[in-house]
Amino acid sequence: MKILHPWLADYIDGPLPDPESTARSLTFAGLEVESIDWFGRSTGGIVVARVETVGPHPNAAKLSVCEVFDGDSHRKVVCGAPNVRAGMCAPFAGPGTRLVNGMEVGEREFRGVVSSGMLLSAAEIGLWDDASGLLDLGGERKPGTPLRDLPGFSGAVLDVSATPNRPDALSHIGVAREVTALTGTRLRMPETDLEENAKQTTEVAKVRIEDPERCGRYVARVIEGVSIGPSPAWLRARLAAAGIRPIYNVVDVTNYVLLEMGHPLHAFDLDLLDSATIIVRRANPDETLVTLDDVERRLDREDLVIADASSPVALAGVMGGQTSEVSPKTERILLESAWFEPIGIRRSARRHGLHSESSHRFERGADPAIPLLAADRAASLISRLAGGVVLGGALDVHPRPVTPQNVTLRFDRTCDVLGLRIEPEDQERALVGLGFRVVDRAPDRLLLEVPSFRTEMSREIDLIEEVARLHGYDAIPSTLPGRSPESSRPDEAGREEEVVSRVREAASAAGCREVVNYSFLSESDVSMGLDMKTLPEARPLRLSNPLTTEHSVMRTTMLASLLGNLRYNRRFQRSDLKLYEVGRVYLAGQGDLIEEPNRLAAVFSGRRAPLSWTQEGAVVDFYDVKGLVETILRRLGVNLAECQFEIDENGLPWLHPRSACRVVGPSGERLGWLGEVHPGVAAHFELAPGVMAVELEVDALTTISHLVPSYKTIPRFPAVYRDLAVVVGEDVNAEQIRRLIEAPLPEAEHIGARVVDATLFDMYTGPQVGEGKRSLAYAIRYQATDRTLTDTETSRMHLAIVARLENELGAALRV
Amino acid sequence: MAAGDPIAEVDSVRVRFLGKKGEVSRLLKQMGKLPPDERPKVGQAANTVRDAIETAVRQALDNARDEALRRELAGPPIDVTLPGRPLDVGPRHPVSRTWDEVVDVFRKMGFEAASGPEIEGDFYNFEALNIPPEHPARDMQDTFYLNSGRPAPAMTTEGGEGPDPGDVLLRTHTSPVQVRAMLRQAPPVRIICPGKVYRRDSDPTHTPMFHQIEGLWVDRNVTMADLKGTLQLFAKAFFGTKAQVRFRPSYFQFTEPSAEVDVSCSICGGSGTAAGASARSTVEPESCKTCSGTGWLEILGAGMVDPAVFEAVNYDPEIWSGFAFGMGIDRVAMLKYQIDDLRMLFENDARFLEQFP
Ligand SMILES: [Zn+2]
Repeated sequence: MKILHPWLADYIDGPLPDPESTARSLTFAGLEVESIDWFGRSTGGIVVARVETVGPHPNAAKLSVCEVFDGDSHRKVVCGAPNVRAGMCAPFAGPGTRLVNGMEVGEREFRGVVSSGMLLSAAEIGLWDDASGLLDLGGERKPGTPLRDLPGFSGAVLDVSATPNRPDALSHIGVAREVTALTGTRLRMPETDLEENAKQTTEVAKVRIEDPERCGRYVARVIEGVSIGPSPAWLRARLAAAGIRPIYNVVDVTNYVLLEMGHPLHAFDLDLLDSATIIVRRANPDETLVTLDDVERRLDREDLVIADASSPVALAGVMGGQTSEVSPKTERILLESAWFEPIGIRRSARRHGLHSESSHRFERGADPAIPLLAADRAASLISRLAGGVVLGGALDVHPRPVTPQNVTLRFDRTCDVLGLRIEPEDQERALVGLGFRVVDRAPDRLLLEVPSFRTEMSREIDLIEEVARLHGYDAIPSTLPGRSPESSRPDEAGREEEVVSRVREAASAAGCREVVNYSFLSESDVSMGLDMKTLPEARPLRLSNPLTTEHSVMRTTMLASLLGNLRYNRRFQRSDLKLYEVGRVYLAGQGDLIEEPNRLAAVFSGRRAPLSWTQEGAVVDFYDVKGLVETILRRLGVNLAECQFEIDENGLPWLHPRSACRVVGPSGERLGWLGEVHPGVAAHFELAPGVMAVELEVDALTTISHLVPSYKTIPRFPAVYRDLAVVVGEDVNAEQIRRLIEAPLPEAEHIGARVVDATLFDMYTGPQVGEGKRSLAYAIRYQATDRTLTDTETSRMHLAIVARLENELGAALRV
Repeated sequence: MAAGDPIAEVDSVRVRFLGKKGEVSRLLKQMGKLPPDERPKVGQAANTVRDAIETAVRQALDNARDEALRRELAGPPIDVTLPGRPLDVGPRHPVSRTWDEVVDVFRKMGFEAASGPEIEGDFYNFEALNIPPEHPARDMQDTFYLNSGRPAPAMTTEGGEGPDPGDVLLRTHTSPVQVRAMLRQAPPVRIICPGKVYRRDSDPTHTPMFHQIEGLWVDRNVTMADLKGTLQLFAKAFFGTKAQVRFRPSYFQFTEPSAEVDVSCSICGGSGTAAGASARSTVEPESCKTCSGTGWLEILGAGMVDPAVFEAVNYDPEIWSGFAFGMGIDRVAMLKYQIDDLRMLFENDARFLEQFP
C-alpha cells in the first residue's frame, strides 16, 4: 500500500526520520518498502493564483476572461472551466512553464483574446484524473505560493508491501505505530471530537444482524443535512497520492479513514434504504445486486449481504450497491463500520472476482475493536467537511464481543530460538512498543495481552518473531548447527542420482544437448498426432485450470517434448541436432494411482557428426540410438549379453514399424524402447522422416545397475584372434550368430580355453553372396588363462564353431 | 643406390646377391662341379664374399633408413590451421547443472537429498504447512489443479493410513517433500529437496514451471543463528568466498520467525556499480544491472520451522527445533550465467544450449 511519508507525521509524537531512513528501517523490520516515489513531482513552476475578476469572452460563449493575480503580477487569462469564479484560488502556470504532458505554456491567443498563462485542473497538473474544472484551492491561499508548498501537495510516497500476516500495517496509523516502536517515539491517535445532536440515531434507523458468525459487529452512525461536494484540496491530494481517486466529500472521508486507520467504511444514502433498516444476512439464491462497478451480481446463499427491508444494498465487506449510492442529492448518510469474518469475505470476493480495498482488509482480519472509533472519526470529519449534524448515540450491534487474548513469553525461549541473547527488558520494550500490554510478570516470563489489531498473534513464537524483527536480524550471529548422534536416514536418492549422472555423461558423449522442458504439453502434441486409443499409456492427466491450451495436459511421454524441441529448432535452420532430457512423465497408473516415473529420452536428427572436412556426411540411423543405449547399459555395469532388443509389433505405434524395438533387462525388466520415429509422427511435428529416438526408465536402470564393478584378473598371456565370415539367410539375426559363437564350447573347456568374445566387424549383402543372404564377419578372441594357445588348439575351437553355425543356422563359411 | 626409394633399392641389391636365387647361392650351388680339394677354398671365399655383402647391405640399409627419415622430417609442414576432427560432446542445461552444484554444496554440509511427487495433495502442499483453505497466504502461490478423478498420492506408511491428501494439485513448492519426510521418520532430519514446482503465472519474470531447492534441518537446539551460518557457508561455497548474506524479516506460513535472505551481488561484488564505471569520477557511476544497484540479490526464503508444522507431523516443538530454507534454482542459474531472459530457459533453443559447454 502507498504510505505518504508526511502523513505519518500526524501520528508520531517526536521526530520522523527522512523518507529513505524510514523506508530502510521499515524494510529491515519486515515491512518491505518496494519503492519510494515523490508525489507532486509534476507541479514544478505552478503557483497559487487568485482569480480577481471573471468576465465574458467577447467571441466565445463557453470561455471567460479573468483577471488573475499570481503573487507577482496581474494577468489576463482566458479560461474554459465551468467552476471559475471570482475570489477563488487555483493553480496557475505562467508563460514558459512546462506542463506534465510536455506542453509549454505561452502567451496564446484564444479567439482574439491573448491569454497570459493558464489556470489548471488537477488532471492538467498530473495529480489525479479530474479534468472537469479548475482545481479549487479555496480562498485563503497566498497568491504566488508554489503549489508543492501547500499541505498535501508534495511528499515521499513509500510503497509498503505488507505480508498477509500484517493486516495492521495496511494503514498510516499502523505504519506509524511500527515507526514509533522502531524509533522509541510515541503514537498519537487522531482527534474524534464528535458533537452529537440531541436527536438519536435510534429514532431514524434500525440495524439487525441475522448472521452473527459472519458479522461480529455492526456500528451505524447517521449524519443529517450534509451537502455533497468536493473535498478540500489537501484531502483530495492525500487520497490521490495514496492512489485513490477523490470523488465527493462523504465518500472521500470514508476512504480517508480507510487509509488512516485501515478500517473499511461504507456510506449509504439513508433515504434510499427501504424503511431505513439495515439487515445483515445471507443472500437468497434468486437475489441480484448491481455493485458500484456497474456489474450485476448473481448472489447465492454463501454471500453475506447488507440489505434494507426489501433487498440487498451491498455485498458485505466487499462492495456497495448502486441503489443506495451517495450522490450529489444525498442529504442523510448512514455510515457503516462493521467487522466481518475473513473467510466468508474471501470466498465472496473470489466468487465474484471482486478484489477491493475493503475485501483486502477484511479477509486478512480487520481490527474488531475499532469499528466505533472509525465511525466516530469519519462522522466527525464528514460533519466538518460536508456540514450536517451527527445524530446522538451510534447504533452498535455487537453479537460477538471479542475477548483479548493473553500469551506467555519465556525470555529464554526467545534466546533459544534465535541463538542470540536479548535482555528481558529489551524484549518487553519491543512488545510494548508494538501495542502489547503486560498483564502479569515473573522473573523469567511475561503474560501479555495481544492488541486487537494483531489478533493472529496467538502463540509464543509469534511474539518471539516480533522481538526478533524489532531487534533486527543483523544482530543474529552465524553459527553451524550441532548434530545429534542419531543418524538422519540413508540417502535414498544417491544411487539413482549416480545412475542419472552416468546416463547424462553417455548422452553427452553421444553429442546430445541437454534440454529441460515443461511438464505440460498441448493435447495435440501429447498424442503426437496418433489416435489416442492406439497408445498403450492411459489418457493424460488434465489440468483443470490451465493457463493456455499449449500447456493443458501433463506429459505421458518424453518423446513429444523432445520432438517439440526439434520442431522449434528447425525453424532456426537447426535440423542436425541431438537432444536429451532426464525428467518425469505423469501417468494415470493402475487403479487410482498416479505415477511419475523418471525417464531419460533422446532424439537424433540429421547428420551423425557435425559438418566437418574430416567426416562424411552420413545421417543418423537406428544403430546410433542403439549405440547410446548399449553405452548406457555398459556404463551401468549391465551385461549387454543378458539384455534383449525385442520387436513389439503393435506396442510402439509412434515408431517406424520396421525399425523399432523394446529394451528388456536381464530379468525381463522393461527398460524402454528405441527406434525410428514414425514418419507420420515426425510430420505432426513438422519434421522430415529419419528422426531416431529412445526413451528409458531411470527406475528400471537403477534396479539393474551394478555401479561398483569388481576387478577381474587380466590374463598374463596374449589372446589369439581368428576371423570368421559366414553367409546366412536373411532370416537369421545377428544375435543368433553371436550366441552360438559365444556359447560354451566343449573343445575349449577341454583344454582350459574359451571364446572371450566375437566382434562383428563387417556385414555384406549383394551379388557376391546371392539373393536373400548376407555375410557377417567376426573377429573371435580365444584365450587360455595359463598359456598362449597354439595354432592347432585355436583351429580346433574355430572349426567347432564353424560346424555349429553350419548345423544350427545353415551357415556357409565364406572364403 | 641413390635414386627412388632407397630402402627398396638396397633390398633389391640384397636379393640379387643374397637371395635364394641370388649370386652367392648360385656360386655355392656350382661348388659341386669343382674338384673336391678346391671346394673348401672356394667355399671359404664365397662365405667371405657373402659376409662382406651382408655387411655392406646392412650398412646401406641403415643409411637408407636414415635418409628416408631425413626426407620424411624435411618435407613441408602439414596445414596445422585446418580444424580438428570434432568431438561433439553435448552440453548440460544450465538449470540442471546448477541443480547439481547446489545439491553438491549442501550434501557436503551434511544434508541428504530427498524427492517426492510433483502431483500432490492439498494436505501436503498447504494444510500440513500451516496454510489452511481460504488462507490469504494461498494468494502468494496461484495453484494448478488436476481434474483427474483420482485421489492425490497418499502417504504410504507401515501400519496405517496417512492423512487424507485432499484436492489434487501440482505442488507449488518442494515443501511437501519435507512434510512427507517428517511424517515418515523420527527426528533428526537433514534433507535437501530439489525439484520442479508449478505456479499459475506466466510473464517475463515468471514461468508456470520452475525449479526449487529446499532444505530442512531438525534436531535439538537448532537456532536461527545456525540457519544464518548454514546459508552463509552455502553462499561462500557457491558464489565465492567474499559472498555475504543478509537477513530481512519476512513471512512464510510454515516458518516463524521468517526471513528473506539476500546474498551480496556476485557481479559487482556488492558495490552496486557496474564494472569499469567507478574509474571515471566525473560521471555518475552506472548501477549494476544484476542487482539494480542495491549490491544485494534476493535469493532465498528461510526461517525457523513453525511449531504448527511440527505438530502436524507429531514432533514435539519443545524438544525439537529446526530451520528450513528454499531458493529458486533457475534464478540462481540466471545469476551465475548472467542470463537476462527467463523464457530462454525452457525454449531449448540450440543456440542457447550450446553456450554452456
Ligand atoms: Zn550488482
